[in-house]
Amino acid sequence: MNKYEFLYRLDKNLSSFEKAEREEITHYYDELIQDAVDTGENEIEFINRLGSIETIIRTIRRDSDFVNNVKEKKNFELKKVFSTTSKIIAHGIFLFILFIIGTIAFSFATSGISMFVVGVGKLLVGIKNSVSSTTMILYIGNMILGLGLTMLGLTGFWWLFKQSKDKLEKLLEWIQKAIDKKGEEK
Amino acid sequence: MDVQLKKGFLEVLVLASLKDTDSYGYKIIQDVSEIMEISESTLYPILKRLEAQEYVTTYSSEYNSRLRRYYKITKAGIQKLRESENDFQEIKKIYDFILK
Repeated sequence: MNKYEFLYRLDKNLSSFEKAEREEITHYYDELIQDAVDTGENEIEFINRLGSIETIIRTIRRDSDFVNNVKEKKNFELKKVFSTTSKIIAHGIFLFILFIIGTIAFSFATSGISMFVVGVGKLLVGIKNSVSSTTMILYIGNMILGLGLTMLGLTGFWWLFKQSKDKLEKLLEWIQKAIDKKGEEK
Repeated sequence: MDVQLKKGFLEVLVLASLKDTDSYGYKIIQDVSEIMEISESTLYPILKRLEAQEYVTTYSSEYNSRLRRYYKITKAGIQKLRESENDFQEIKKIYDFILK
């Protein structure tokens, strides 16, 4: 069997392989035979030395599982890195949003309380000094606005607590586990 | 020699043949067969294994008006070769014990 007959038969027997792999294998053997001939070997004798096409394919097939497993492992590791990075970014964004809402809620609550207290104080002083009813309404408005702002701030805090409760519990659980593990190691 | 053991040695031998210079299929067979028997059809799966584990990379270069595929050892491949030096010490210890 000469090189062309060998490559034709090899290619025909590789029909179950993917096109790219099929081309790679036939190219490998084409090159191998050509290099052997260029070095002075007899083409037919060298092809006979390669063994039967069935054995060649069986040897490749036996190893293809290993190659596929390595490729799958690489994909899995890449996915794992991507998933961990996405989680870290998502948690970072979540914490940033919590911080922003927390500061807004805190400023609403504190300014609301101070407005309410100032409103009550001015109202009491106003009653004592018998100020006009328009000014009294202004003081009452001040109190109501302060109360509203406080409620808004507290609502913000309640939302924050609701959102972060699960995550806080998980964090506490994780810390507890880490402490227990340290204790067991000792 | 045991088939699995031989396969492991062949992988390292192929890497060692690429340590100093890039090489191609036929030349690798010639170099390795000086140390251990290797059939022409055995080399292809070994090269694919090494390529999948990123111990070697390939590139094509023109030779005699045709393209020839060359294999080049990677940093990971050199590291694997170094690790095999440690394996040698362990294997030596085992055989020293067996042949005692």
